[in-house]
Amino acid sequence: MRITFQQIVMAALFVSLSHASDLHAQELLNRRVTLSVTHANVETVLDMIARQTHARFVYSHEVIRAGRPVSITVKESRLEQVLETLLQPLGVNYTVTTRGTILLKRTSGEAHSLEIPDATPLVPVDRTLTGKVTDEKGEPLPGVSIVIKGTQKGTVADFNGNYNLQLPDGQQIVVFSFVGYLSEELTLTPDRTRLDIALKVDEKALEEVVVVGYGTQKKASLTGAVANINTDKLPTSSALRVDQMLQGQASGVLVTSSTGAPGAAATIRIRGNNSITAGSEPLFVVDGIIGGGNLNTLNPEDIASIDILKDVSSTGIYGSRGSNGVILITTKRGSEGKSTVNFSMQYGLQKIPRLIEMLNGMEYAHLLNETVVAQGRPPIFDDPDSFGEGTNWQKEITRTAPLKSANLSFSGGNKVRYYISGNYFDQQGIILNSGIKRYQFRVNLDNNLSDKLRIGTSINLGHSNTNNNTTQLAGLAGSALATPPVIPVFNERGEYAFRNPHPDAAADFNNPVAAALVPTNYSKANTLLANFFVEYEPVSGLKLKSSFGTDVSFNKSYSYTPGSLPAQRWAGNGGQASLSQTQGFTWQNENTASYFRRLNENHEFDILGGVTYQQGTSENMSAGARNFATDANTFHNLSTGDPSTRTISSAYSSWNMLSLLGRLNYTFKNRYLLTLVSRYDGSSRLGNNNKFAFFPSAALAWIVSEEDFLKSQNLLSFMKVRTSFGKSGNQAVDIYQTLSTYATTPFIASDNPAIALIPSRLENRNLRWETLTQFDAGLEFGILNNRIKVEADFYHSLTRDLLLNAEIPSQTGFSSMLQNIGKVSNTGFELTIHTINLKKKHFEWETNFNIATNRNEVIHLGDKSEIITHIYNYGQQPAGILRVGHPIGSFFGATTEGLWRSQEEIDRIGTMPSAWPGMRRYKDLNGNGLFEDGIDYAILGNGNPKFFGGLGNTIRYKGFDIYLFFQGTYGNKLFNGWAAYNGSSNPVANQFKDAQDRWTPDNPDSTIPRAGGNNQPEERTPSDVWIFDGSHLRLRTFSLQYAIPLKNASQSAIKRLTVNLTGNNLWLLSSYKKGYDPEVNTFGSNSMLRGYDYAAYPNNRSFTIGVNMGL
Amino acid sequence: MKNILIRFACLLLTGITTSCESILQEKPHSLIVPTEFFNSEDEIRQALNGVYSYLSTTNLYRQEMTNLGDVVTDMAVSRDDLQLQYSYREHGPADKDLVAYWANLYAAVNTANTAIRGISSSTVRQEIKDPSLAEARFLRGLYYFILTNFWGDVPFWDEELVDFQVIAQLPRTPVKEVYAKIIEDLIFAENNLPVSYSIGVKNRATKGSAQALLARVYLFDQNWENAVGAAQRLIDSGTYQLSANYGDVFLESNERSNKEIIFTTEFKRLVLGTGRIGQYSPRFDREGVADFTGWGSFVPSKLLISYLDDNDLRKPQLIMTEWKGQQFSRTYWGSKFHDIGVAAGQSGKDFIILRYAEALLSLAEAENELNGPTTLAYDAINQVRARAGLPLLSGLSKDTFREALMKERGIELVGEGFRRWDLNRWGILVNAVRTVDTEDNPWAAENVKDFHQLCRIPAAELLKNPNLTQNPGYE
Repeated sequence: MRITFQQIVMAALFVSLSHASDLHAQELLNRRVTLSVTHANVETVLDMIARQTHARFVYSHEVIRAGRPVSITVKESRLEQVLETLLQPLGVNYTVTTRGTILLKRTSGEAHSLEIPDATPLVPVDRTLTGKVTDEKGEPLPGVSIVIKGTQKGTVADFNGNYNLQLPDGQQIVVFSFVGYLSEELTLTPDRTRLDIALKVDEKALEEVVVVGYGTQKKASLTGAVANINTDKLPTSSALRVDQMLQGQASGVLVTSSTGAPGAAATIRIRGNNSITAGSEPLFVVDGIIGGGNLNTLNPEDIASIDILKDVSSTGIYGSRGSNGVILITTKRGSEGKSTVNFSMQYGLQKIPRLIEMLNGMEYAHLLNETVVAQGRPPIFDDPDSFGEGTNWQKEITRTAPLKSANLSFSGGNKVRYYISGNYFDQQGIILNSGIKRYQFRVNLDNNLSDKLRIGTSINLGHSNTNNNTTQLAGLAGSALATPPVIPVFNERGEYAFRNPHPDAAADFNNPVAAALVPTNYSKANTLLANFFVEYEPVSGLKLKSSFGTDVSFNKSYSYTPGSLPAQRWAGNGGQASLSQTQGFTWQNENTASYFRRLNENHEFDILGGVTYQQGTSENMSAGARNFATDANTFHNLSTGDPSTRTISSAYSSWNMLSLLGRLNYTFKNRYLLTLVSRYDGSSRLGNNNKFAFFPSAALAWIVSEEDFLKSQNLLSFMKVRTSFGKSGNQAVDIYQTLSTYATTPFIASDNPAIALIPSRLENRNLRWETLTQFDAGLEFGILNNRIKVEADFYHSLTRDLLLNAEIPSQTGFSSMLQNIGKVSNTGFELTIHTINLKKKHFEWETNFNIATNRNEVIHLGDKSEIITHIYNYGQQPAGILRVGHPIGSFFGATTEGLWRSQEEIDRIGTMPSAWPGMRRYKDLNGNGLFEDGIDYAILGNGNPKFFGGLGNTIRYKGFDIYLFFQGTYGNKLFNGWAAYNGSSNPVANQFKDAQDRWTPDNPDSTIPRAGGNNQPEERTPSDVWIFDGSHLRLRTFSLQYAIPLKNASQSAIKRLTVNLTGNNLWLLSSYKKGYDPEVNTFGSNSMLRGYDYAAYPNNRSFTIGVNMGL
Repeated sequence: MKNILIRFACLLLTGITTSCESILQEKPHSLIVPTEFFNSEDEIRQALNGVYSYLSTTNLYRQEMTNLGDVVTDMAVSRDDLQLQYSYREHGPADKDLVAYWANLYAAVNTANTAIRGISSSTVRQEIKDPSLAEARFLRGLYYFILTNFWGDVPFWDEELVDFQVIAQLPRTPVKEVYAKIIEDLIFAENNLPVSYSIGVKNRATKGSAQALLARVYLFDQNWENAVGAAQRLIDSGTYQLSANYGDVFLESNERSNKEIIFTTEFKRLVLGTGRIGQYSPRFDREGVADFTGWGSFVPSKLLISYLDDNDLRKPQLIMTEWKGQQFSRTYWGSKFHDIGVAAGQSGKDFIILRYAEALLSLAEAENELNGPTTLAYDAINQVRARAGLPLLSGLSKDTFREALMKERGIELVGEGFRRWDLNRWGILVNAVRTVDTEDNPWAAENVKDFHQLCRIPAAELLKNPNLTQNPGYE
């Protein structure tokens, strides 16, 4: 049904395409030109010709050296003749495309002379040459021009690269040329009728282009630090979300999955944490829409390129939103002449890579008996051995889960180019009753209304349905790691069993399996991301562009916890339901003018200016009720809940921004580059005294390899040094944060609740952006004809005016006020190496390696030297701290010295007089003779890695592609938030397997506390025992792809067929055994709380098979 | 140049020619901004409710007020495992609680000032404006009065001051000057508040509330003549009268109709319950009596128990040694503090802040100080004693009258949140606390010093505002 629908769309498109008429090349070349210029540069002359003939020239300045001076005088001459006269002495060739564009390129090979015919001679037809043109990989190359040398006679290869050329008698030289490829000249013997040819990529001409804010730029002439991720090189199905695609791919970009739950966002840090409270996640720009898109409704297969702007000269164009780096996502667009249909399908299986080793039933029963006996109570179990293995709760709540995906795309076009795609994606989670489904549809269109006017659109429609996990892995009661293994899943009556045998345990908790299966909890997201643009080029080089974009979202969450869930039932509660919905609407209008001008050989300018306006609104509403008499209606009939338990709330917020932006790129002598960038942002979020802010930056680069003194050597093929300095900002202030507001507070009047308003916030008209000032120095070079390419960057940044809640005298009526007071710095080094290790006809091996280091330091916290950022929820003691001179997100806690070995030791040392043998021994850090909980604490490390990076290998052998991708971090620490109860030897929760080696009078050297030390505060003291090394190396992706050779591919329905096998997360090297995965961030994007593991949803290991067809 | 560019951009994008700032103004539809409020009687009502709401916060009459107002004095002590906290090592609870009391009271002051500012500039009719202002000013006076009782000299600011930087740096204002401002507010309130509201509204300030509070403030200010005047005006108004029975005053069923009650703060079971009852009710974990689920945090002192001879009709309301035949391990408070069968923190009993009996005792005291034990003085105190079933007083000297009055206030008003302030103004706190039996509290009698009359200024506040000074004894 879907395909039928798309066929209709396709049919409609093709109908409109058929109206586009081709310009006949010869008609163009017959147009007349009158010219008389002396010593003008080539570009100027071409401009003049273009104006007279309405021809359109396409060329690379470098390639044809368009700055060269020429003189020419012609009167009413045919264009063809004029071009020959003008270009031939310059060693420049031309070809006319079917659309009437004239492509100019340097004459390939050794210099040869073209005869200038007065008229095209009639050539007697003798034979037909047929063949196929492909690229080096064997992919067909449509649009290649095939010309008989010395004539204008020629043809163009069709969509499948096939051509027919009528050749005159005798030996002929045939020239194959195509933009971006090296031209081939072949001498044909008179009997030759078939010629297949593979064109080689012209490495020089095919310059890597990267997307920068509000435009594109050649990679070679960039002055800033921009990482480009070529999504073509990544195997499909290696990443399910766009943010996961970035992991390990670019140096200085640290991507960490916060949890392994299907659809969960990864957190991304580009060059460190630049903010404390305002968020350090980068800005996403999807097809020009700033901050747009829900990554769960974006299809990774639609993405053409991802460019990551890292330094301030590239992020500066986004001004107040650029300081955390910018990720530009560009989706695929149709290209002229190429009509392709692509269909792919994947099926995969995912499983939990490993379970945490816990005590089994028998071991637990012994521990519990030992504990209660030590406390002077009778043993609980008569026959502990009878439990055997017991229940492995981790196994009970996890499963091998399927993953399905299907993708269909159409692209191509002529005057109207299109890319249309649809995607269905269904990932079940490895924990019961969790998963995500996505339905997505995209249309990207471009149309040339005339040579000067272009319009286009990108539209993405998406729907996702996330089934949220409702069971807990860790936690004191009812979690998979805590629930004693002596409890069965079902009791003898067939009900979910739940009662903890420990006499001190809380009575009511959920059986983990029941908690996974009984509640209903899902959320739906509907998004529309659309952008329309019109671009007008009144004169060559000047482009006026206006775009209008919108991001619309409608999200709704559904939750129902039935009264039949054990904890609800035993607490006597009925069902509990809630619904909440959020609607978001953002629109933006951007108007830019850009002008490119090359004055002469030496000066080149590229100027951009623009004004933009963006506005967003968000509305939400939620409602809930409890004590439903029946579970039948779940959340679909809230009015049947107990009226006194109904809750309702709604909110509305809106913001807008007005900005001016400008950029100047100036190139002197092709090798000295200057970039000046500025953005002037005005935002509604800010206080009246600081509505506008200015973010300027500047960058310089020097392409050393263009200097004459490096031209005579062959080792260094490219070398550039660059540096940038400037400011960008963080839109840190929340909406309405600068206003004084009233909030409601509980109040009773005449025996009924009444609305009472109290001031909840002090007005602050002075709130400002957080401002980042950054210095960057980079070196790029390529050696051995760019077989080895290296890019290295050093940076140092300082973020000022960080928003912190400063304490103010309470006599004002408020105890704190949000102020711009903090400072934080980041210093780092990044290295990227790309090598082509082998390049043979059938065997290629490429390696990409990147590594980065970043040092983060809190410089200033206003009038404080430290702020507690995290209270450990089990023990209510501080476990996280911000301290001047240390990185953001330091772990905090006591330092252990093993266990107290004996009463004699306790009495002798005396720092913990009430301790007992076998209890953890904490160090008295302040030397006052006593260990004081909460006071004798020190910084125990932080979650930021010392180094992190990735290593990718691509190996191609004949039809096989192998991709191996490793990724890792070194030096980051983890805070395991549940080890306190699973590693205390207190069997109120099940214990880690190593509790078997617990302290006993016969085992005094153990580091595992003894049984019976029940429920003392010291069990919950955060300490270095719960800090683990998060360093790891992971084989993130292994992929094997095989292109099945097809006979007569051009004739058959299937033009291309590849099959692939992909394994994700197949191997992990890590010392972290008391958690599922060292890559974890339970607190998501919160900069202050990185590396905390509160038993996040584990990452899965998956195998996927897939097929990819070109139709 | 920048401005021209911005104006150009604005014009281009939005067609607005005036000012870019105007399109970047925030319009918070789901929030209430005080400067754009106070446009109607209902809006003013909601803002005034906010000013009242602090009375029912945990740090005031919902729970903690009695900790500092009644414990530890000659009348009330803390339970055994809380004794160290309430034994004058510190003054009352620890510093972190004092921070919360201080912050809560100033938040109340700020809320009152915001409301007064808003009402003053409101366009509503003057007949609505004046009584509304009077309510806010009555409450501001009450909050400052509580502040001075805790800390003596305190920073004073009113609605005239808007710059928070200036407010943040204010030093302490001498308590005499603060009293003058309080009295100014209360006189305005007396002149502009209605005599009553619709039946049963006891939690809104009336003319009588202003008179009763004024009488108390004048008494504390030792301005006997005005104290007599204010109390006399209250009594002469005829709006209030003593309830026939002491116990009836504190029944939840009576709290909206009883004519003795002048001003309360309301609580409602399960919606906004008070924990005060839980603190005063027998300990559930020790006594195991199902009707009481309290914490027994505070208990009657041995002195109070000894004061209550069997003739005193207030005895069953004030103390209790057994329940339905089950003997308690110690003496607990009586029915004045009971809410049978209600979870500890969830009682709906209102807190009576001002009542007629106190006004009578204030009149008696002020009159005695002014003119000696006149008929007026005897008549006032004897009304209270008569209801308690005690013999009427007569033939006392000025000094013996004063002593009898101090004892009478102690018994009649115990647990109403200001015994310690009374002891302070009489200058007898130290002597009174020294009567505390070592079984009631082993340290209090020994620890208590003169400087304990005032509380410690929270250390954090001294750091944040260098112009604040610490009270003597706490430096």
